Amino acid sequence: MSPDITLLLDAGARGDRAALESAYTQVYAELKRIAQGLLRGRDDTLSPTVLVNEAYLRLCGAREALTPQSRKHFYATAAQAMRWIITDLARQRGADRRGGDWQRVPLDEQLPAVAIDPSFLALDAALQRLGEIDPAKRELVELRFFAGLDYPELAELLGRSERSLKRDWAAARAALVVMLDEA
Amino acid sequence: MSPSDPRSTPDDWRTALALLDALLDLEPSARAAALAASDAAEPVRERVRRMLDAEDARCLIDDPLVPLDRDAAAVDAGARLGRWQLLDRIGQGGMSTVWRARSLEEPVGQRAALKRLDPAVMDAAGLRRFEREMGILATLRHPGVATILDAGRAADGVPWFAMTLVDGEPIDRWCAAHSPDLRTRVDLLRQACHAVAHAHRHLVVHRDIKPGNVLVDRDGRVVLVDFGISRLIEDTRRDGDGADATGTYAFTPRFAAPEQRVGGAISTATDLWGLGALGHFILGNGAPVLAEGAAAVVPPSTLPADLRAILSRCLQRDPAERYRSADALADDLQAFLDGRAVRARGDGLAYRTGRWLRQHPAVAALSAALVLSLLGGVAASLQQAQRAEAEAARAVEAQRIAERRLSVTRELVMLLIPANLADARLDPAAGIDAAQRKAESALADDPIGLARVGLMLVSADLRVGRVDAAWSRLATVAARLEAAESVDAVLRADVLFARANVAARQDREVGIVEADYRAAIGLYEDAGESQGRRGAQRALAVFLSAAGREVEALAVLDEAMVGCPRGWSDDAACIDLIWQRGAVLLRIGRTAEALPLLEAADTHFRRHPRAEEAAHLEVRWLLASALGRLGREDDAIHALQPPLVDLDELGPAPSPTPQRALGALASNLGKRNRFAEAVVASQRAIEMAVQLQGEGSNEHQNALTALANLHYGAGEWETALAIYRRVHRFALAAYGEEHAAVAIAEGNIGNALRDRGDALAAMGWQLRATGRIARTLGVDNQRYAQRLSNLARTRAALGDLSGARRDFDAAIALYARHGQTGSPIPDYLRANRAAVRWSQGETTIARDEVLGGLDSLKTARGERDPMALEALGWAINLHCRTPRSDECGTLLADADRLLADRTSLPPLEARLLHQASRQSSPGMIRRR
Repeated sequence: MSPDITLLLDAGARGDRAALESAYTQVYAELKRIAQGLLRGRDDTLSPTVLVNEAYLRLCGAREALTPQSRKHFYATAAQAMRWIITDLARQRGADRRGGDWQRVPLDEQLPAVAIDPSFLALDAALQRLGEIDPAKRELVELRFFAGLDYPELAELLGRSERSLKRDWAAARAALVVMLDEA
Repeated sequence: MSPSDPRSTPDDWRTALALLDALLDLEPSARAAALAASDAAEPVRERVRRMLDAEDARCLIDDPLVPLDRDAAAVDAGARLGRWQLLDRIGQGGMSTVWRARSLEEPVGQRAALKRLDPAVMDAAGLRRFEREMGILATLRHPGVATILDAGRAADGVPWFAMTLVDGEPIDRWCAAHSPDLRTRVDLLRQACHAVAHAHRHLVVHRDIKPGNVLVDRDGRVVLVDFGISRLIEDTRRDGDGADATGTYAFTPRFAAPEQRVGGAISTATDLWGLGALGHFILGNGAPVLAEGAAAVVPPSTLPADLRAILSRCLQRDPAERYRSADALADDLQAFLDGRAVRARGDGLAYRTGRWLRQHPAVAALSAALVLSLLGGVAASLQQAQRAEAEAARAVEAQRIAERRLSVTRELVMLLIPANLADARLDPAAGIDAAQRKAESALADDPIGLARVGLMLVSADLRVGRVDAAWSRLATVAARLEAAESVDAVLRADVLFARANVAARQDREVGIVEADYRAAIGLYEDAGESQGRRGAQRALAVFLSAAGREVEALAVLDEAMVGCPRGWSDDAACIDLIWQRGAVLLRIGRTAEALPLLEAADTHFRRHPRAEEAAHLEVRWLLASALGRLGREDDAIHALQPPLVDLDELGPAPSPTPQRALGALASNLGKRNRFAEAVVASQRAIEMAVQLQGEGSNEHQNALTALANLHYGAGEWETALAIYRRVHRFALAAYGEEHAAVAIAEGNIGNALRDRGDALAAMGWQLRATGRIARTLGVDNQRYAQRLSNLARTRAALGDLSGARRDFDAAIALYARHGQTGSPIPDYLRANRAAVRWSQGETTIARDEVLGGLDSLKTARGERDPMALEALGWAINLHCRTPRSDECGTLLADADRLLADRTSLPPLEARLLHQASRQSSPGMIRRR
């Protein structure tokens, strides 16, 4: 079948774009599948962190642990996948804008019902711009917001102090606010 | 903002961000000044200013992306479901919504709590079981159980059920509001126990006891809701497919019993944990936590010692160590309230009797309680002693009664459904009912005799598939026995045995069914009733085998054989054990071991024909399966035919055995190229499958696929395709998209399309099937190898050489790992792959491999075998093209020789061989 995801991610960590893309596809598929499975019978709400962690365990858990670089790549990939999923769904909702209204949208049945604000599209565009300016900050937003990792987890994953991460978050957020405003 | 605007270049942003980073390092109060003092351009500073202001603004990313409760509110207040009108929503969970509802039909105005289950959480099997489960749950009537009033499926497919509306709140909220004292809390728990005990008597396990499911009404009475509902939401593991567990939880982890967490067997003991956990919770200590490696939960020391002992006895890791029944727990709680000694603290009475029961303590705990609850009375051993005395005194009377029963029984047998297929045309239900009526009049004053007849009729009900009727009849029998004076152990065992049989057919919890069987076995053993014991052991083995626990089944059969005479005996029960063992061995693929057992049983039956032909037919079918698997198709056909000569005489039979026999017959006839006969048998098998299990059922799909395979083997693509497509539609409807059965159907369609010459159309199907097999069955098994090899052939047909090569290689490697030793399939694939290797330039290797494969196949399967014939065709193809090899002549001569007797060859392969040899020698004149 397809190559081991650990190998792909390791290759990706060494700069192999194709490997990374392949990993992305697998992670994306796995997220969807897990979400569907997790949906069955869970009493508590389902958060992106849960999804991403499940995907991690599923794809990498049983084998030897990923190198720290690869682990980071995994989460970053998963976060991007989540971002893509959410944005795509917001796009499907159409162009109706009712600024501020939270619409409860039952997504395609494979994902939890997340409240999708149409401004997710604008966020996606803003993140795109932020990525061109400062990729690290964009990645931080993806990891924290789309993958739902908290500061302690982020600190461990990225090898930085919580304080500096919080500072970076503030900066990224500020930039996004201004970008969203200007758009 | 347009891209040409100077403010929007990335560089400007970078500068601004860098500046922002620096400012954020400072105290907020110092930032404005620092900004003013910086030497950045004004537009940049403006931007930074705005970013600093952003701190006060709301942003989409401020709140975590947490999904809200799924709202299945596709309905609103006022909607109508069945006779109910939804009033307002009173609850919302992860898997369901609860509405207050009122009835618009008689009794008008009746109030209920209507629960709509989210169909997304129910798999296809759960949805199918919904009605049956609701029917079982509706039989629970107890003040402590919210009665199921009604159930159904909405037009959009959403399952719902209505239960009595409880004017109350969950126990945790109630306790918080009323702050009850300790005694009150204990009493609440005691009430819950009685409700659970009632359910257990009806073989229903709650499975999800937690504060949210325990309500307290206005009068302070406890009512439990959602009994057994979580069973409908089981994960896919239950379907026994070995499918990848998706890690779903149909229970609340905090209150789950240890065996639930590890996916072990659920039984009534699981609820005993649940009650203990509930007690632990409402006595103020939250959910119990079982430390890793600990044998039990240690309740907090703030509770009185007696209560601690009680809770501890519930919260044992080993189900066998918990209270035997909810009633026992309730009794101890009452003892605590009354200030009496509590059993949990001492050794307690020895309820366990018999070697069997001692060997299976978990079962013993359940069985004693069940036996007693069913029949009332004192401990088993005590009663047996009493009976013995009574018997001695009433020997004469007993004799008279026995004789009368015997004569009545003989009459009834004539009315009942015989196991003779020839008489199978009698209307079963009418026969059974007539027998019941007759028995009631003849044995009106003999409750024991009537009970025995009742048990016989329960078997009859089961045999004709009237499972629910069997259950009610059994309940009547039990009720009658309760009223009787004294009941001997064997009869009690018979009742338990019967109940196990019915419960198994009703698909009740495995743990419960097994408990009944083992209890019956124990009682038979104690009473020295070896015939009954063996019968029960055999039934248990069948049950375990069907549940995928074949090794345990074999162990049970071994124990059952204790006391059987050595060698093939005339003891019918022992013979049954022998061939049953063969059946289990066959199931796990130990065909060679199974064969001698089945042959012996078949020989025995031929010499000693039984009134029950069904058993012999079953043996013959098993024997044929074994022979077929070993490649002895002619022997398999022979085993099935006499006296099954005239297939039309069978008529609608009450058991699936004739259907399976026909299927086996068809398959073997097909392999021997007796195509027309095979189709007839196959079509008959299909008819039976539809009759017995329904159109679109699993058996119907299998039977259809078998017929399609026959047509495929004859090269009749269109016919085969049409049937495969039909099976595909059935599989989709039955299981949804992501299921192995769908994948297999897709694969068959792909194969047929490819072989018809439509490789392009085939490819889509092949890819879909391959992906789906990988996802549903995994990639490290023989099935996947098979799939890959088919995909490889398709790729080769499309000219995708490297892809074909890759898939062939992978398939061969997988087969090497997973195939049976000595299987010729890897050689077959190598021979197939040779053509690809040739096209990739490896001409010498290709010719070698194809010859090597051909030789292996001829040795292993004979030269007339379909695979060998195909390989011969490939060999001719590679060796007779320019430059011709030296082997070409020999190969063509072989083909000629074989084709001379073409009608004895399998039609498809014969055609392929004919084509291959014709193509390779265009100038020669071919015969025929």
